[in-house]
Amino acid sequence: MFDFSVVHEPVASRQRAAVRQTIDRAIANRSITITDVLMAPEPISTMALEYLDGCSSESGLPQTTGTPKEIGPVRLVCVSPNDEIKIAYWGSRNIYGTTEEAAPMKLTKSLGNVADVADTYPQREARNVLRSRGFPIRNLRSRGANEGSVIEWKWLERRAKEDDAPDEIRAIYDQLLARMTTPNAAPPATKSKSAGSAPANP
Amino acid sequence: MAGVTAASSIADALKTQALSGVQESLFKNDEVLGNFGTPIPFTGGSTINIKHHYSGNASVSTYSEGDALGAAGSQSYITAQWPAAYYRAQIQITGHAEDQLRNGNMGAVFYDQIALEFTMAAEDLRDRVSTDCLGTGLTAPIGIQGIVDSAGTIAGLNKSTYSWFQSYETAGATTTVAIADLDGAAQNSSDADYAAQVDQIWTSWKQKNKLKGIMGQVGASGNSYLQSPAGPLNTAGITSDMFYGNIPIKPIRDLTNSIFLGLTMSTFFLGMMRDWKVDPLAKTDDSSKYLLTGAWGLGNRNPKKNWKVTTLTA
Repeated sequence: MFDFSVVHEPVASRQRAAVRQTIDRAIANRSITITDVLMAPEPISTMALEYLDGCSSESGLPQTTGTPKEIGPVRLVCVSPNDEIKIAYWGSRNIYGTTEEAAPMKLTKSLGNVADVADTYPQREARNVLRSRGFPIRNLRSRGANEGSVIEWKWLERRAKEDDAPDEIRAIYDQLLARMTTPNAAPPATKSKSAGSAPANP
Repeated sequence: MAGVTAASSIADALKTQALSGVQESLFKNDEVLGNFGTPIPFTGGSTINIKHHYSGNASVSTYSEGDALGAAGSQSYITAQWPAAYYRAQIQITGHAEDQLRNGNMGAVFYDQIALEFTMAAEDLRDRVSTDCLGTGLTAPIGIQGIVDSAGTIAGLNKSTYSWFQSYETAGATTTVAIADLDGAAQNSSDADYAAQVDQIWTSWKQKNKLKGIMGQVGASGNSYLQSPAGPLNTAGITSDMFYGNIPIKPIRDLTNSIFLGLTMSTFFLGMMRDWKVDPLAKTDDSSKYLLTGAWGLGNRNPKKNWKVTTLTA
């Protein structure tokens, strides 16, 4: 998504402007993917994420510069048919046997093997799944030491059809195509750190 | 029965008695703060600022004879701002109480209640700071669970925007801890680009024992449970009797019972905006009043170098 000239702009302000243009263009023609943004080299990746989240750190401190951009639910697919996509959120439970609310704790919601995941600011659920488990984001960031297990369908669909696509990408695409049509969960409910709730201890 | 008897005739002569001093029977957590090293004084302003270098020079390359120069590159930096929370306790002692306690004269009292009001209040404050440090706070008071997390805005940085500020976080495969959960977290966070150097794993006592049950028992064939020869738990300086690899698994009282935290301890710091101090206040009627205050904040130089396994509720 980001071509050579963007990465090698010599001045940070021009680099930011080029990143903004690239993002705007990709949103306009609906080609934007989180995978492309997360796989971009630094500082391009951070600049792009800042622009998507309506902030900038030109002064060295993050400052709000605009409205966060929403790119809609993102279809994520587990590479393995036996895996599941999990979204973490802060919730709370009662202390077992009482009506006293316990301290907040991290809970997870399973979205199944294929899911359209919301990516609203500031939670950015889909982005966070891809950051820690994304294929091939994790592969790239760990320099091949680890592999991601969740793939962004839109990115895969495009990449598999490109002339220079690796064979394994084409193979994964063919394998996943059959599972693509029926995502088995709705986007997750948005929960904040303090406002989450969950049923009492099972 | 005539004569001096214990049953009836020594009551006036016998002093009401108890061993001097007070036995602490109230649980207060004083085990957490020492893990973060010597507190770091704030340097002015409302936050301790950590400058993060997150991007290198993109012009780095190999080149061949005669190649033209490319564009110059530069490093990139952003500042994280870690705040402190102010803590206080108030003490009030009436003139009547001071008189009757003889200002703590040990000839009159079993324990110096006035002095203890101060030392116990200080312990109550430390308990509160410890509890906050183990909590989920993203703003002051910041907690370790908020720091070691994959999302949320902390120290002014949204971890979803600044992905190099995210900790590696994963949910347990089930609600019961499995070795594979720790393996997954450890390998992902140890490799690039998290590059953690975890040297302690924190969990609750219950989860530590759950893990012990999975790892096996000492002396059982095929077990992978290592026990330290160093000595028992609960002794200052002894971190644990269990290890994951060579990393001690440290049970922490008051830590939520659903997580394992892999911590690179050198990344943590306890900021000291104000050391504990006692100020006498103006008297109210015949009472003396005092204010105990301090301002502290947990921070982290590099949250990315810590991991968390969640949802272990069993």
